Amino acid sequence: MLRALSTATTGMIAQQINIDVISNNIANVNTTGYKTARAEFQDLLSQVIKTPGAQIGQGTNQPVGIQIGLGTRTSATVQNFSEGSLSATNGNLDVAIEGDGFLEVQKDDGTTAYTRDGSLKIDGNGQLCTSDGFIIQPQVTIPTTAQSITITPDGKISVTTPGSTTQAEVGTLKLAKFANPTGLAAIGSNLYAATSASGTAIEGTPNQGGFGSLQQGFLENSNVQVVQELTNLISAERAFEANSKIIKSADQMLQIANNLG
Amino acid sequence: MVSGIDAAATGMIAQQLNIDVISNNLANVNTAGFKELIPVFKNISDIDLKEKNKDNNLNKDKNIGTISAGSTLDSTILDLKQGALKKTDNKLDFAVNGGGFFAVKTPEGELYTRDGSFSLSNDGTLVTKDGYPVLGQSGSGIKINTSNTSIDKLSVNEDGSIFLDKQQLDKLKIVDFSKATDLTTVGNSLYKPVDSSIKPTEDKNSKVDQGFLEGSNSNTIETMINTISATRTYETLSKVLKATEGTLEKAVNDVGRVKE
Repeated sequence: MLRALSTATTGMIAQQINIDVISNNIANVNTTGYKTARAEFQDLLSQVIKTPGAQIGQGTNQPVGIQIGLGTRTSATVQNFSEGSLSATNGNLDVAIEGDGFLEVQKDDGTTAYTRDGSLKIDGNGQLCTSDGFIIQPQVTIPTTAQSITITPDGKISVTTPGSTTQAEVGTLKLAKFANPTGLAAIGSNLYAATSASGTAIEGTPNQGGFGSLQQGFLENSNVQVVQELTNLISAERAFEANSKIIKSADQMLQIANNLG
Repeated sequence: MVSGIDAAATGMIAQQLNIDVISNNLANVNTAGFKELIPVFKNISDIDLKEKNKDNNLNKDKNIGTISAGSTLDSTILDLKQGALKKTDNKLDFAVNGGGFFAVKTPEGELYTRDGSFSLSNDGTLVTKDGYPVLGQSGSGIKINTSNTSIDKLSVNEDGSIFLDKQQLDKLKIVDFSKATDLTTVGNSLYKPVDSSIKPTEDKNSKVDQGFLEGSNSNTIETMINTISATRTYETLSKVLKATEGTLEKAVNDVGRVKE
């Protein structure tokens, strides 16, 4: 049977996954802190029909062999953690991380997750949380009487209360980073979970020792480059089409073979 | 038997292999660092055609030409021509501009790749997407410790020297082979020498580009044309096969018919 049929099938499946990844990037073009993902491919093993270098006579080696590759596979989807542009929102609870690091949050099931989305909120108990209500770690409680909130680049949160002219510090934001951020698992809702590939979180103070600084009143846009994604989309679609032509050709050949009898 | 029927059949089998090889080139049109395999055909050894000498003396037979017994896939040759470089802006993406290969440590020993989409392992070692350590010039893996700094401070020179925060860590091991036929593909974008006696040499001419990946060098237009050509050749040969079959049918059924 023709290998071309299954080879072209692997090609079409790979391009489908490619388009799936690209479409998710485009869908998240306005998602705060979203990181572009990219599908990566590798060739499958090659079937050796004639071994190169095999001895074919005394002192004579086969200079080249016959190898037939069996297609392609998706080897990874990799997130690009380069920084998105910052846009000013003037919200005093909007914090963008300029540089490396993630905010640590505790999900409602008690597990820890990490996010670059700094559009913080205050929940009913006065605690800082994400839009989904997940509590920021370490916990910070904002007094209900607080009038203005200031977050410094190194994460100190101060508030002014009525009757007082000075600011009082109520807590600190910490950041976490990873040896291999591309190894983090994207778990939706702008959250990432640590995996054995990412390594354990290294916690630290913003604006120190390689950690990014915090910018109050800004949010980080997604780092999706629409033009790049659209060119990738065209290339993926055409590659899909070209592989389908191979399947048609292989089919035609099989039909010809069938008509021989 | 009529030799044409076998010749046409070998040709059809060769065209099947042809489309098998080119379909793989097309399937990998988006595989970083992929190199095309080019099918090469040869004709099966020619048979001398002789006219029988009237005296029935074999040594005096007159040579009237040759006839080929068909065609077969002779070899597949790795085409190492450079693929287009694609900007990714990822600090851990590298492309080799030139003939060199990255060296990686695998359970099967040192293998080579043109796919520079590396990442860091959980202990900060530079690895391929399969987790194989990328080798430095010293012959060991490269550790990039970003705990006190940022990966944005990682820079790699054209010669492969790796700097983190302006401190040189190591240099990527870039090697070259004297010819493409020294290499054979092992899948997963990796290559190995055809023979353990072949040792690559250090490549000083290739340039390493950080933030770029090398695209596949497979040429879609060429492959599409080759696909059409392979299908049509296959069809033509099937016609030859049928025509030869027709001749045989005549020989068997008509020539030898006993008139009633």
